[in-house]
Amino acid sequence: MAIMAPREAVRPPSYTTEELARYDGIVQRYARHVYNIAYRMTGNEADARDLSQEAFLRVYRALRRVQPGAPLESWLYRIVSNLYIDLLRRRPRARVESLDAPIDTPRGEMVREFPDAAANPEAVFERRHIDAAIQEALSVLSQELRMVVVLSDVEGFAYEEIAAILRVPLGTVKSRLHRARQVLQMRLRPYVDARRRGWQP
Amino acid sequence: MTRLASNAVTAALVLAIAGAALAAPPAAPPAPPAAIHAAPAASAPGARAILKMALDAPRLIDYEGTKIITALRNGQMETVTVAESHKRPNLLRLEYLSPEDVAGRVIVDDGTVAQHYEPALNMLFEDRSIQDTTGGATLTLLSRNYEIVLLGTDEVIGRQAYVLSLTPHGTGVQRQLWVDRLTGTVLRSEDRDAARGLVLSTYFSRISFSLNLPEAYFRYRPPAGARVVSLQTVAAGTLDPAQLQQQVGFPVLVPPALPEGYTFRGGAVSRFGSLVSAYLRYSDGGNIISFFEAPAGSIGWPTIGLPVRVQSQPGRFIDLGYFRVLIWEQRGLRITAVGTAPSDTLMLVAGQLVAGREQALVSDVSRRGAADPALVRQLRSQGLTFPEIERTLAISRALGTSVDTTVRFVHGALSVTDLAAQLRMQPDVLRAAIRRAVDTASMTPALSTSAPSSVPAGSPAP
Amino acid sequence: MNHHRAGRLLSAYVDGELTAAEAREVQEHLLDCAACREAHDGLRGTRDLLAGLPPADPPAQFWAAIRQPVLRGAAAAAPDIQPDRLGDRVRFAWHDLTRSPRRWFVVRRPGWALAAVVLVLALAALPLVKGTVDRLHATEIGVDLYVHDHAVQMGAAPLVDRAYVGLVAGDAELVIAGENPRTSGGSRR
Repeated sequence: MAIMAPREAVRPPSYTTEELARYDGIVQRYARHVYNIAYRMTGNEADARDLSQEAFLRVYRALRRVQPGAPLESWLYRIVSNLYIDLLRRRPRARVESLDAPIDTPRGEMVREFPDAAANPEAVFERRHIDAAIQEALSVLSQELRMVVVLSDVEGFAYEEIAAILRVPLGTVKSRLHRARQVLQMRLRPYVDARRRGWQP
Repeated sequence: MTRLASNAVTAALVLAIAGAALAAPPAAPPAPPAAIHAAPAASAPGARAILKMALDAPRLIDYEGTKIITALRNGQMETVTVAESHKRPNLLRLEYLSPEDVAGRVIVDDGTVAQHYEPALNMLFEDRSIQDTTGGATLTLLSRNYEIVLLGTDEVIGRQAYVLSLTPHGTGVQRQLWVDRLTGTVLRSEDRDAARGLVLSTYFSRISFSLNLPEAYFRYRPPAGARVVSLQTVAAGTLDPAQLQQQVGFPVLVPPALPEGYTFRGGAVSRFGSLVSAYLRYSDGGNIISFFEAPAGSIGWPTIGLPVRVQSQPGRFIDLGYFRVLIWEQRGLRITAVGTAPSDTLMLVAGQLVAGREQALVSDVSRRGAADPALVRQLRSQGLTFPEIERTLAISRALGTSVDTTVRFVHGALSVTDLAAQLRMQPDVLRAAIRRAVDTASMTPALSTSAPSSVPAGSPAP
Repeated sequence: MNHHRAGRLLSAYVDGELTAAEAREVQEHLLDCAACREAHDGLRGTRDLLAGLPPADPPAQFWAAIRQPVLRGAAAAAPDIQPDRLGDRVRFAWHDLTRSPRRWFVVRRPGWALAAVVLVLALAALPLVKGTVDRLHATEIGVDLYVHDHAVQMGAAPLVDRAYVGLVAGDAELVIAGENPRTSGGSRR
């Protein structure tokens, strides 16, 4: 909670009832998604809450500059993405090298191999276990790759939309997503195989 | 591919299709209802003439009535009431009255465009016409592929009606029609499915003829503020598979074999947003099987339906009641078949497609038909199934007709009478010659896929 | 198309995000290359696995926190409104929100998100007010779209009842346009 601006510092602008209703509408429409993205990015509830609350605080402050009825997806998710980068910067993890970074070898780039994520064969069928494994796999991705894959595969955005949200070229979205999926595929192989054998979660 | 192996391929194809036909419970001719009077032997017109009368009626007769539809929908029978008006030649107005969630829906169709208004949403959908635009080939195909029997006469809302039964030689829906004796209008109809019995029944509970309905009644002016949505997803006109492939930019697959009697009736591009699908239609004159093909990544699996395996490929089977839908993937394509055909027939057709023995079958059929493989490939790109190609080659060789003309005959665009006139032959003589050609051709087993009494498609009805 | 290039395009191919020409080349390569087919299936499986993640449920404190400015601001902006009545109104809204985990604008398939956006733009121009992308769910629309096209073409079989064909096509149109399907006669979803 501490990393964000203290609540007390917020001086709410005096909005009309109509403007408040608009904020209300924005929250109703986007809050779950903002939270979900934040959760998949940070991997824990406390950080997800901080991130998404902060995002809505920014919406609230900027309310008068938001055109009524304008789609806010790109803007909101860009806020989340930037907040997340801020969070990482303020709280550097021990892990410096990202596991999805290719290893340079004399024969060109190589992607790391991972051991099977699930030791217990039945675990591939349990929803709870699958979700945890996915979250774990997401957490080994670098921030850039994780954001792309969350927006694409978890939230279902098209490449063009992701490019707009992250302000990166379309080609970058493509290559990041491909790399992210390669890493995830290796870590999640037992689950993917279980699905391919015809089992549906 | 060795000769033996390719023979085995064709044999497998043939046996599979034949097996399906045999496995399906034979559609027993419906017993005439007690009230139906046996047809008077001499005075009544023939079944074909009555069918023609029913097909021609819309061009000659106006009517306005209340129709009751009972149809299988999601495992239950649903009853819908609709006020139906028709003005010749092709104006149609449908106003749905019940149940509540469809009450007030209006569909107005002028033979080109259908407008569908949904009052609860104040929305107007513009769509392609739902009326027949194909004309002549239908009767030819119907009489080739269905056993048409006049069961007798019956009374419907106080009017005399001929009762016709149409039973497909192959598998599919068996249909019974009550045709108004004076006007030819279908007053009542029942569709039966071998597996589930009655799947669709319609009848007029009230009908008036020869009213002078104003044309304005068949134009719909939506209320102010109505949202207009154009859903003309399927482009007009027809393309053959080769042309379709050029337009959509991915390989378009043509089914190697279909239930007896189904023949290619045109293809089109179906577009919705960025989803572009190649759409192939096959008809036996009474029913349609549709194939939609799109790149696998462009569309998701539906959340409903039964997971199935089509030759080890993942698939979904959805039973919507009257319609059945089979979806599967093969080689990067997502293929969806929609039709009234039985589920095992759909599975079989899908299995033939998945097996992907195109090259082997091309060489096999061209060898046995003594034809250039390039010709066989070209006929495939026009949408013909392999049994149809074998038939085309055999007839063309026996009669000396050009391949183009023979294909038109096999498609049902030319009837026996048409072809006989072209060849200056007696229709009966031609009929016998065609039967001989088809019978003596090496692929005969491929054609007799249904009950022994059936007439192969491509050969004339008696 | 060479193996290396096809490999790099596989993800975009899985998502339907390639040009028609590229998609065709990849498809042709897939026919020949077992390794790429394997990779393709793996990538798609991974994508589908992620798409199956249930949305994370925000905790109660989250709703309370983002409500806060509304309550405070409302009180400041309109002091004549009874705070508890306002609270009721807001609580009512949250009640709805927290109870029904509806997907507001999410399309699970990226290729479809684009399709949906294109469609919404087209519909907006028409103008279709209710164009929320959430309803344009490819997995639900695919079948309805094809059943619609099939039903309309049933006109080529002249003995099929038109009133029935109109009913089926009309029902499918509602779903395609993002409206709720009719419920009577059994529920489909």
